[in-house]
Amino acid sequence: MYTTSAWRQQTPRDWEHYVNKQVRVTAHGQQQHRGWLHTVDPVTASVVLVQLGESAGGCSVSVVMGHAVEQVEVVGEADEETAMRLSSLFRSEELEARGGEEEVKRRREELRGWLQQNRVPVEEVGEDLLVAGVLTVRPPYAEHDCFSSNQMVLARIQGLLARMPTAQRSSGPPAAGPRLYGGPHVGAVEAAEDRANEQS
Amino acid sequence: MKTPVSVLRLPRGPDPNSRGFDPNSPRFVALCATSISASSKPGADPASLQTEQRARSMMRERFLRCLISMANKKIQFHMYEKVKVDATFGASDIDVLNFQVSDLQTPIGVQTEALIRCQDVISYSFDM
Repeated sequence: MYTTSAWRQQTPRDWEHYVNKQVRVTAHGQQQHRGWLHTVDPVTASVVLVQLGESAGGCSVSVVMGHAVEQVEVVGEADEETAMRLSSLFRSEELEARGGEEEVKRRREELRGWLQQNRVPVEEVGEDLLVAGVLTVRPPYAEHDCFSSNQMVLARIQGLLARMPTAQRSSGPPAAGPRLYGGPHVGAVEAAEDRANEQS
Repeated sequence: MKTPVSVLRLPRGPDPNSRGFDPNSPRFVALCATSISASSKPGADPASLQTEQRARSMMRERFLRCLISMANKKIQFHMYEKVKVDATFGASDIDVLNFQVSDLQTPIGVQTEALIRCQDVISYSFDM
């Protein structure tokens, strides 16, 4: 049991303690929310709760904004299966795309070829691809598997990946021509792209 | 001489050349909590800072992936004064101050495009 009006003042390690636990969150005005705690955003302290359905697919998600959280109580621990389901949530496409080991290896080679064809320096570090020394692409080497602290490079390489000529990709039609990104809106960029793709 | 009319402006967006979320940006300082929480006291153990940073990045990544999966989904927002509205989620800015939504169903009609100020939201929910 944990009570505070200063939920936002907790450190990330305090929040991490609640991850994958079943919790009851009291928000502003005695609103109660129950569910499995998927994560706490370390910037806004917003709490992501998941109510798992009976079947493997369905579940509903509620997010309580950090400024409205009044109380968080742990009511249960997750077993291994639930913890696995929670960790793989929001990444189902990625897991589907993974396929066999052969397939992943083939994708890596394809991606390396495509980057080299575009004159982007790339080297293999273990399973990962290191691009221009500042960006890492991890298996299964899709657009969402790029990691970099340099946002401009990240946006460019993701754009390049989206335009990779492969029959395997299912993420909509490739955009025409080079795309330039102005803003650092992580969710915004991808959402805007989706909308643009829909309209075209 | 005419008196100038005050213009309501939205807060300025983050610097386009920035490398992502910046807690020192004027916008964040003006609109958000004074500091993001960290146990970075002077002389703190570097190993514990590292584990903290790892925890932070793990949780932030999960949160961002959750935001990405919300795009183009029907979301119900619970706001202050018992207001409940439905809308299709579009995007969020990086410091989670505004949500861009479409087809916002307000009690007085449907707003095709809208920005929702996050400080006005208590919680929101959606189905996967």
